[in-house]
Amino acid sequence: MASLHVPEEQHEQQQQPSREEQQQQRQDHPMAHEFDCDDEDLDPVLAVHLASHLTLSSSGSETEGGVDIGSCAVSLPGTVSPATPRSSLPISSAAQPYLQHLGRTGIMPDGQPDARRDGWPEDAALTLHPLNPSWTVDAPSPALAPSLQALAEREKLGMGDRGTVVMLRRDSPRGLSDLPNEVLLQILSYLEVCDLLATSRTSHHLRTLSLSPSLQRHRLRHARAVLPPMLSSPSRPSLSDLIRRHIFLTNTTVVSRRLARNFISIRLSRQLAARPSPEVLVERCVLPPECVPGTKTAVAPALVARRRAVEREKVKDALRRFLGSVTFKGGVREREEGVKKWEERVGVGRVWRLRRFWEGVSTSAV
Amino acid sequence: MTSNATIQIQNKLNEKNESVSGKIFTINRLAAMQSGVIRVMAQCCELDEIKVIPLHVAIPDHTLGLIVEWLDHHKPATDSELAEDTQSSDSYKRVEMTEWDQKFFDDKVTGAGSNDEGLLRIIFAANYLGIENLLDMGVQVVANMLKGKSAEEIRYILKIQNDFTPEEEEAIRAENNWTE
Repeated sequence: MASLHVPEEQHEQQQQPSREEQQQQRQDHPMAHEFDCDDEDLDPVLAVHLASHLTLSSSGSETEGGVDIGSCAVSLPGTVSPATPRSSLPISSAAQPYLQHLGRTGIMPDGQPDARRDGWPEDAALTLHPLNPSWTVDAPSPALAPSLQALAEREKLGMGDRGTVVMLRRDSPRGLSDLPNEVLLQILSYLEVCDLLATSRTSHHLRTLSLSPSLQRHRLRHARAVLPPMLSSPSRPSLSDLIRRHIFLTNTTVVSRRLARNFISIRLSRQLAARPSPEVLVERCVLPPECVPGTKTAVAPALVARRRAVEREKVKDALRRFLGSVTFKGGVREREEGVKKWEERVGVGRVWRLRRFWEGVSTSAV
Repeated sequence: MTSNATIQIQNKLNEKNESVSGKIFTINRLAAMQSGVIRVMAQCCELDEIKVIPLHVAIPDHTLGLIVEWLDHHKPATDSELAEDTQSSDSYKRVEMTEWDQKFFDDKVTGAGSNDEGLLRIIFAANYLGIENLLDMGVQVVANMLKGKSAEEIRYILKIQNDFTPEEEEAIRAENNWTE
């Protein structure tokens, strides 16, 4: 960590550059461009990381080459050594929870290699702007050193060839599977085993996640935490309650049920034996005569109902044919006409009698 | 600090994306403190001095509005209640979704014809802002979408590309044979 202090000392010897100069230096510095993901959005805490990392990685190779390391450290906003009077707001200890949060959201390394570091979505870097112009930041505290080291390690291991460090930009998330790993794990922790097996068959990434031991351990711990209160909860029905509701069967209930079943079967077989014979039923016209086994019948007893249906259909067919041959309505009208004529001729029917009566009355009146 | 103090959150301005317009949202201080990021900011510095918190996340205005609505509804009554809500380290505790939350997600997040987009944005934003309870609810909604579904259905819901070779798929099927 000695290299961390080198730029600070150099910086103290320098004149404090103005903000514009800082910006200028930052643009000019070849290394600075690597970190120019989102210049003005860099938050101070992140800036400290970047700055210190910059010095970490450059001090090894380029110190002798005359690169102005001091300007690297200064170039990022708000990076001030602890000795300067401007360090009015010590953030190193207060920012610790925030850094932990960043570590959790996959933005900052937290010592654990991230399995999906190239999967960081856009906007993964939630940055808090310098909150006011007087915001200044201490040099990184010793407590942050391990995470800085890890950042540097990771950079050397391969993220450097991408040319970006902390903020990997990507298109905006397309599907729910683009969520960060920890969110996906949280989703999976709500699923049951059969659902987890289904998700494990969707893709390699989800397979790794849904079969990961940490998820299963979480599920186990969750079950352990959830089960005891459920077992001792007052809403859980007691044993006597279960017996009363016939959910829990005691030995006596089992035996009594078997007894009851035997009893019923005995009674049924007795009643079957006491049934009246088919002959009696035929005599009483309950059964058709074909049902009596001994009698000579044209069809088998099982076909009796069918035979009757066929006979009924035959009768219906005949009736239909008869109705079809007679033009029903015309025939009725003809007959009505005939009856009327006959009545008129013969002089029966109430109307004709009445008329004749009134005719008689009128002629006698004249 | 009074409980009626408000905080203003300014969304990021993005000329390319008109849904991210730099709009300013006003929110009750206690409600905003449910966000881990804003809470830490309050611990780091005097929040009274800050009038507007600029966000540097491209959250669409609509989503941020929904989040502000959610935060307002779940506003803790007092500082101690806030501390109780946020300090609980019991990670096995699951957040109960009330009827209001269910309706919130049904009508405003997953509804309105935006299918998964709205839900996705809410989860992302809740994750970045460190709003644990909102994140947990969003996660539950997704988990409920996945429950009892087959692998193909899950692929469709999560928009996953199948990157298994046929041989691998066969091997996995043989492995999980006992479940079918």
